[in-house]
Amino acid sequence: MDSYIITIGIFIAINSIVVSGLNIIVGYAGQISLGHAAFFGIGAYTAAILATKAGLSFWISLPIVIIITGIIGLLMGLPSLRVREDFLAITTIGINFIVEAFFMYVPFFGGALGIGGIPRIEFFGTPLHGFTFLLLCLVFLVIALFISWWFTKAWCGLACFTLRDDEIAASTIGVSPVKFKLLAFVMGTAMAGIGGALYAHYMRFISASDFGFPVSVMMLSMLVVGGMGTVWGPILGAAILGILPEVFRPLIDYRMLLYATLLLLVIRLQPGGILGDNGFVKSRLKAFSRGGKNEK
Amino acid sequence: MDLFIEQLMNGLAIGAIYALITSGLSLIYGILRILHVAHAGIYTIGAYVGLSVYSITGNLLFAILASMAVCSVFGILVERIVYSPLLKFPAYVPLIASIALLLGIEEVMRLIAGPQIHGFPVSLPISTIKVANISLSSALVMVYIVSIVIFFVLWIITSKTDLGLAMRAVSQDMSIASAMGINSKQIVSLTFAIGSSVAAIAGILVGIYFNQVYPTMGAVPAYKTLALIVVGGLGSVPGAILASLLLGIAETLLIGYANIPFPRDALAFVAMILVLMIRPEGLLGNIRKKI
Amino acid sequence: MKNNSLLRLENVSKQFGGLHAVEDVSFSLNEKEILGLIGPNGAGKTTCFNMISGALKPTAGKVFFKGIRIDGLPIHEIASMGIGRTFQIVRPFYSLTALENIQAALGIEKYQSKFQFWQKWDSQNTKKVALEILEKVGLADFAHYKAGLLPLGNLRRLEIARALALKPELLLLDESFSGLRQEETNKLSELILQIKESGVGILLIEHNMRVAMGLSDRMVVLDHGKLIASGTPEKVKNDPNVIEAYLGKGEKKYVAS
Repeated sequence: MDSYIITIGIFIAINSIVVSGLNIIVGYAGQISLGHAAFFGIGAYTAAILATKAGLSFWISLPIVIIITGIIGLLMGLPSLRVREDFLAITTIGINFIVEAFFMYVPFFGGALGIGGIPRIEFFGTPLHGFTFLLLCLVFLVIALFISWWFTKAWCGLACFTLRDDEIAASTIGVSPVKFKLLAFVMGTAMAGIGGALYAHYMRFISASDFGFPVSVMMLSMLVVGGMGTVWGPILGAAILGILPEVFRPLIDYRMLLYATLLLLVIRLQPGGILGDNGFVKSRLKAFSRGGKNEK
Repeated sequence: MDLFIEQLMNGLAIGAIYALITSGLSLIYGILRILHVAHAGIYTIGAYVGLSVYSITGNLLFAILASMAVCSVFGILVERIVYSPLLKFPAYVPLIASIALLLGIEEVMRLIAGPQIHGFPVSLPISTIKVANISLSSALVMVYIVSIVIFFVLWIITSKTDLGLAMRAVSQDMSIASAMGINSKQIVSLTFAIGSSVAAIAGILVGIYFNQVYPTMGAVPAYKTLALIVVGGLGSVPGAILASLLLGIAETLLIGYANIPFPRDALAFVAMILVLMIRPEGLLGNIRKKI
Repeated sequence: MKNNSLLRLENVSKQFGGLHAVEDVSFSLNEKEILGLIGPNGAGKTTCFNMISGALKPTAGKVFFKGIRIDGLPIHEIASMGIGRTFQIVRPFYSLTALENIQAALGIEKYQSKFQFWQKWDSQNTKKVALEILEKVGLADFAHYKAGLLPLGNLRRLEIARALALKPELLLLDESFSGLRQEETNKLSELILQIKESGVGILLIEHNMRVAMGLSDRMVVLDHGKLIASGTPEKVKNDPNVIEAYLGKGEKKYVAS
């Protein structure tokens, strides 16, 4: 397979994992996170440090990455989730900037130069790259999708849906807003951490600016475009926004403008996303089928 | 000591400019409760329009007025076309639209004017003023004078006029204000016009003071000003101004003068997180946090 | 002092700044009893509700449920102890169907657990139980409609059904009859009596005087935050303080029909 396609495939896969995490926070639990890239970064840096400074293999550092990203998510989530919607947006933006600044200025993390020389992931002695790495990413993606799907089937997912719809009413049926918002937040950030670890071992070189606010915006855009609150939305969004820049490569100078325009159009015309409730896909499907239990 | 005072004056000027941008943002947040990140885009447009008109006419006052006009119109268009239809959705929807808009504006400016930094050379009557032992550039004095005038005008409008009263009514409760006979839609548009004009002025001042106009000049202010309206207290324009002045001074003195190795642009966010933890209603805030 | 009442408020007060929304209110409610909480607008009725359900913390006084003190506890914990409530302005989970709204409430024990909330919620059993509850309130036909699309009368019943799914011992009904047509009012009254018969204590805020008097076993009247009368509907109806509160001074001689 063309290595160019494999590269794009890897990016889409990694982004899908990270955005699936964002989906749990924003799509399922109805919270805002505009700082998701910070956790992507925390996962990446943790993996990078464990690999380069502690010499740990990816497989051993993976659970550590998940735990550390989850704990930091918990610590940041605690104050954030008690504030009002728009406060939350600004707080998560702030978290992103602060985490990025932290990685940029604390010498342990390599400062502006970042961390390089991150080894490839080895599977029973074979270093993974190219197609084999893509396979690895796909395996993690399948796991992420499964967790996403299971979440919607579990009581905790239902609790998050009620929080999303009406937090006060949810409390009156016994759903603790802090507990379930935190749960969603930690799950989402942990997934971002996993994506970050994969990213670090793929790029083999990371720096703070890979995890800045524009990346968070891109992730949220993927979620919005693909469809919030759906299991496949993150993949669709990652694919669309991953492939588009390549499609528009000849128009490279206009790429950002096209991205901004696309994002603006989608959010303005289909705030639920392409796969969302009033989105393009569902309304075409509705036009084909009459009735169906959720139509009335 | 003289250096300290010079830096203090500098910090105050930067703070004043932040305050100009943030006060418009605060008015807009107060009235629609949206995070109008694209406000920084309008500020950028203001700088470019001001520069262009000045280059053509050589008349600074005219450039300022033209810029204010263009930005007001643009602000109203943004409000009508982008934000109003999205008000019924959760807060992140208009926020994403705003972010996309800011990005779009940056790109359009880059495509039209080029990515390079343009200077804004203005020939002012006096080039430096010396007070005691300190030399103040006329650009700095201009920043002070213009900001004070604008803040004064804003104060008059919001607290002494019927328009200000209507604005406060609409920001408290739009449907009740409408029921009382206030044309809420018009008031919202007017607020955007006022906020955008002030942003335009801020853009021009920045262009002159730093002699720099470039497409991404709004990127950092966009989010810093968000942090500032939180620190000042959501909905409070005086709070926004106070927070901005304090930040300007803190950034310049702490980092510029005292050389503390801390990223300057992150200071605003650290302040914001502290405020959220210790005093969520902000310095002078008057909107109560939801339980 | 009776300690076996289901719900007991002891000298409860709530102050907002200088405003005394509720001042030194005490009353109790027993099992299988409908207690009507009435009073003119602004009397403090909803504030009392909010202090019982946990939405507000009293500035003074205590609230007891089954002998346990509950004032100051978070809403979800009070819910899990067996108190269900409805809202004056309905709050359905609009993106879920009616059936799912009920199923959500059935998870109340799971939500309190440490790990059980990872289990599947859409089992045959919960569907069955939820459907039965919907039947009880007469909404079985609307089971698969998205709650956001239902009309007000149905939404009020859905709220009650959702509260019932918690298997509460105390039900707080906040103006459930407002905005309903006569026929709907009758049906809802029947339903509430059935709920009472099944052993649930009900605290009812209601503006519709005829309904309130008809349903309540006892009543408690608030005015300007203070308790001004309590007793049977008959006694309360003729209490001069109550008449004055509703109709103003000078109307003491007028007896409401």
